[in-house]
Amino acid sequence: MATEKQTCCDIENARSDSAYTIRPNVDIWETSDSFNLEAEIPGVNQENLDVKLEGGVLTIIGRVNAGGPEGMQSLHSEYQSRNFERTFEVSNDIEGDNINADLKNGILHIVLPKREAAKPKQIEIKVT
Amino acid sequence: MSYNRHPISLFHDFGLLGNLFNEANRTYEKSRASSGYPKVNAYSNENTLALTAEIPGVDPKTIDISVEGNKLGIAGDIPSRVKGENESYHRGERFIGKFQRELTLPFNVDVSSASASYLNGILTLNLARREEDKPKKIEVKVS
Repeated sequence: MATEKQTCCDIENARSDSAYTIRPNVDIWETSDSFNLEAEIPGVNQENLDVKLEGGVLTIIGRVNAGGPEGMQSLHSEYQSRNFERTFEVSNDIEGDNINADLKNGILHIVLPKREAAKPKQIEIKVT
Repeated sequence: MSYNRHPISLFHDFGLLGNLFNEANRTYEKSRASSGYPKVNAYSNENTLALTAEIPGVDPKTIDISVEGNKLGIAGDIPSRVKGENESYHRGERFIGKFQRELTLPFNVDVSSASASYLNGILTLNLARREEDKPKKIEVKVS
């Protein structure tokens, strides 16, 4: 986990005519049971979000609807509507069938549970 | 700290009104105020203004929005996760912490009709021009 597959998603990866694509900011942390990933994808709703694991590569794609409110003109613009895409290499220690993804307040949280064999083991010490 | 990143010429629609949307950001301890967080887009028609701001990961109940005349303040805090035992971080790119912005709007806002919503990490504000600020048609008498 946590090895990035590609370093850049530039304008050539754009998924629609009206928006370009950037890599979302992520936090990645590891617990004894799982790897966790949180990605900032403001403006993406569940229907426009794709998370998949294929061939050891985790891909996140989020699409946004570009444009402002109907009947209004843009007055001031500090951010552009853009799609999000980022890929990560995932180690074999992940239980691919039990990955959980949850979207809340523009943050995608993915939990990738470790295989039993990859979890740290407590070794009992026998006193003789 | 004075801060004015967005040239006034962007607001040609309201050019007659002068220095619109000038930043009045103050430095806020350990915040992104000085770097203009959150980023804001504004849309308008004659008497209404819609603002959108990207603030992923905040509890909308904790966003502090204040409107007074033509001054709009947006402030809040994106709390950091409580780190559990035996956790190790591989990456920490997300924005965490306090933020504050103050914007000057192109007109005085009718506070009673102002509304705010938060969806998928985007804050949207709908603001209407105060009645007495609306443009008046002046009849020209022909004598």
